[in-house]
Amino acid sequence: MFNKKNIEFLKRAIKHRSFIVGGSMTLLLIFCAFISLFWTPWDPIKQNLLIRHSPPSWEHLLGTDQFGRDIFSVIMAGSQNSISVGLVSVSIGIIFGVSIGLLASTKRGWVEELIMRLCDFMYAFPAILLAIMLVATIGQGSINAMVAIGIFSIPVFARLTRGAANAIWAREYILASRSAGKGLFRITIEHVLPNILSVIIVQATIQFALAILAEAALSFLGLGAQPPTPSWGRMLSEARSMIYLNPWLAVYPGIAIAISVLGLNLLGDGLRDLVDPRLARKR
Amino acid sequence: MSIFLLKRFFTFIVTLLGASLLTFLSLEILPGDPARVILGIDAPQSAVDALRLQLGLDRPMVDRYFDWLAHLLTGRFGVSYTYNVPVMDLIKHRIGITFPLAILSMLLSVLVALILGIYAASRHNKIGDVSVMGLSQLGISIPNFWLALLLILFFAVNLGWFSSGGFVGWDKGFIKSIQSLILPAISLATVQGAILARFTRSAVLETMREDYVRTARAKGLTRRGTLWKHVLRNAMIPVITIMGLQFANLLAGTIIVEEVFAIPGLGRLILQAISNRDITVVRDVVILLAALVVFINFVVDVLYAVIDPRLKPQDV
Amino acid sequence: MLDIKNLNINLNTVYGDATAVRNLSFKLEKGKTLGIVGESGCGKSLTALAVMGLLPENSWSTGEIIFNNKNLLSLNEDKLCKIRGNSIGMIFQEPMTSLNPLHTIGKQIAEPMILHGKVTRSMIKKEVLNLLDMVGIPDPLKRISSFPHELSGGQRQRVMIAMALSCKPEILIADEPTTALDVTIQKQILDLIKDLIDEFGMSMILISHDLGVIANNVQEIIVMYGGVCVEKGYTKKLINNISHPYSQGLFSAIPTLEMQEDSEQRLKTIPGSVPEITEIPKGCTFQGRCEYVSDICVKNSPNSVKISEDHEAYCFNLDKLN
Repeated sequence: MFNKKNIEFLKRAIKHRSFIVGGSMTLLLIFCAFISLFWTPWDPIKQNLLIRHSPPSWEHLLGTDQFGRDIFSVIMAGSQNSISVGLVSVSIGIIFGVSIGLLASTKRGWVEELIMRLCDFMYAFPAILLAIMLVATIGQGSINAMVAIGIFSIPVFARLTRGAANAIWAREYILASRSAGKGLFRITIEHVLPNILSVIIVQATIQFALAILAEAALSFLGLGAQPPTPSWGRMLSEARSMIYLNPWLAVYPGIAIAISVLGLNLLGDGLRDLVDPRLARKR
Repeated sequence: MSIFLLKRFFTFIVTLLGASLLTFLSLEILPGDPARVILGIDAPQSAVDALRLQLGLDRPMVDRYFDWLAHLLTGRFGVSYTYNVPVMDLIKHRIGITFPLAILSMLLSVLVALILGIYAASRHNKIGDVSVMGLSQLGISIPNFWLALLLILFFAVNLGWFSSGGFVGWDKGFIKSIQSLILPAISLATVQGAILARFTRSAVLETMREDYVRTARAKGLTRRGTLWKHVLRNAMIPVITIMGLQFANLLAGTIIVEEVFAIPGLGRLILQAISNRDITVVRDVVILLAALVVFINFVVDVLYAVIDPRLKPQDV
Repeated sequence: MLDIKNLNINLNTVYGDATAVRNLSFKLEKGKTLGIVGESGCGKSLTALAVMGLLPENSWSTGEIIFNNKNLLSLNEDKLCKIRGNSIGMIFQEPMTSLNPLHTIGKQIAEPMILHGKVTRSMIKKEVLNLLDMVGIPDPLKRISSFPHELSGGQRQRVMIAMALSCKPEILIADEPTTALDVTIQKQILDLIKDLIDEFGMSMILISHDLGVIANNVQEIIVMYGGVCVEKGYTKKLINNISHPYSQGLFSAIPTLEMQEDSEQRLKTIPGSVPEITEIPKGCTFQGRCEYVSDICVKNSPNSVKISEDHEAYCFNLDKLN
């Protein structure tokens, strides 16, 4: 665990600015979601029409919304939604995408060609448009939104995996294992997968951020999380009609989204530098 | 025509067919009978059956797909169930809003991205570079519809410089029309521009490390001269690819931004049609947008061949 | 004409600062040719880039590079630009990647001449055609509008030569000009360079890892190892009496025809490999691989030892060697 290589990695990680900043922001997001499972300052769902649109105070840090709910509490609870969307859709993307990518890289020939052309096709097609269509047809709701977003991250992982895996397959020691009589499947599990793991983790961080953005967009259009589940995207959509009355409603959830996405993006960039010292040195 | 372009043209056609199939199928799995949805739960079964017949829903799926394709190819779009007008009529006005909006935001994002990206690359690792990159990192992290809300809040609600939404119509004059498109265009262009700026920067930096750039310097060209004469054109090749791919996102982005600004374009049409279960409209608009995207990517490929002599026909 | 005094080149790497070239001094007279030989990583290419003022971003040089009574290291960028390609031309190792893929070769050859105001616009095409003809490209009229990818490696290197010579520079620097080429093409290219040098009365710095290439093409040789000069001298004198253990190793690593007849004699190799620039030892740089190494080699850097007129080596153990 604490061999020389890992310690070296940690040493560089501590010094890496965007890794540390992004990592802290991401931890903040996870922490928020975790705490909100047990406790929020106020109930994020219960309405209290007596205190609608109250300004920020010690009692309500960010004030209350049009139903008298504590905005800070709703935002805290909304982080659960964003995190679960990220987790589910990235998992879908990784499970299917990595398998498909490995398949393409192992089988080669027409299988690889077909898979890659399909991925190209998905790339050229406006993904969000399809996600909107898909959610609209199979029905609105968090789960469907997660699945739709997950489906569109499959080609991203498939392409990445195939490219990275092909590079591993070309290495000498793989050739040696093959000539030693190891099967394709075993080599894939023993040598290829561990070697491409870091690239996949980096991409997963970026896709997590994209999933949060996409879900917010779907929820904003009313196609994602349904009331009363707290969701940042829907908070913004509800704030639209209040924009003259209580403009701050339209500000806070956006900040929450931006911090989460920025944190994950920075973390991803930092990780990329750290796992690929060749690129880091070029800087 | 070179083999490269022929291949690309073939891909273009195949992608279009794939897009049509995907669009058609994803609407076929829609639960519920469209005829029933249109007429409502209380409508007598006989009326529903009659509508099914009228819409051709009784015929096999494969037949309907090829019918639809044939209609698209001859430019005859369907008739909307809910509006009861040809889809073409619905599209005609709206495309004149959505398309200029997409083009305007594309222009904005490309302009800003190229300037910032090239500037950052030329100031590599200096304060200018770092601040541009920090700014773009922020730009990438902001949802475009939230930026749209903020722009409305600031420029329309607080300053009152622009109207908070709607579209005046081209008949009110070019300036006025562009004015009502400028805020939506900015909110769309910011994210795209931020991504493109980062990409431009790294493409320029990558090209600067090429051997032929060193050759150019050895000829006596200044740093700046090398950048303009040798680096930029080479760096533009990957940048143009990204621009093509971004167009897809931009069009998809118009759907949500039109919603925020209440602009009566294709995006709003599609959202309304989806909530009305107006399959004909959804299908035709989606395939239109998809075709546009695929076409733009084809144009990008053609641009490649213009820029890169390695893809031009070999003189045999 | 070119006088390099105490040139030091420092690199800034992730592992810390390192000195890639140490106290290098040599002179190049007008019309003379000089070769620098050594394994990759010995600092020979960096030396060439330092003369051009084109060192990579993470490196800097100290000392003096006097060219026509001006110290190039103290000139500003604008003045250097007027010298590059104009008074000093350079040919690089990789003809495949050293030409801009998007410009015709005609345009690329014309570029330095236009830049340095050597010809009028109306004469440019004729001048480019002349140059193409001179470097032996067949059918120049057709080739002038070709793109680099349409040429073979040898032809591209000819284009590079035409480009470097277009302004009739006083010095030509050729950094491994034939390394990337087929063996059959190598000699053609070297002969072409030599002929043109003679024709224009230019000076040349030829850089190669191949002592054979160097010995056949230049009048004076510098052998470099680990960023320092270990031996230098007039070609004939040096080749007839190779003194430094490293030079001897380099020379005996060249296969000759006679070897095949005598099965006892085998191709010698130098044990070990070139140290990383961050790990170059104090004292003699060759100590780690030298079979004659002694205590003093580890402590001190060897001074110049005169072997004969115009031939010197940097070694403590020259007497043991012979």
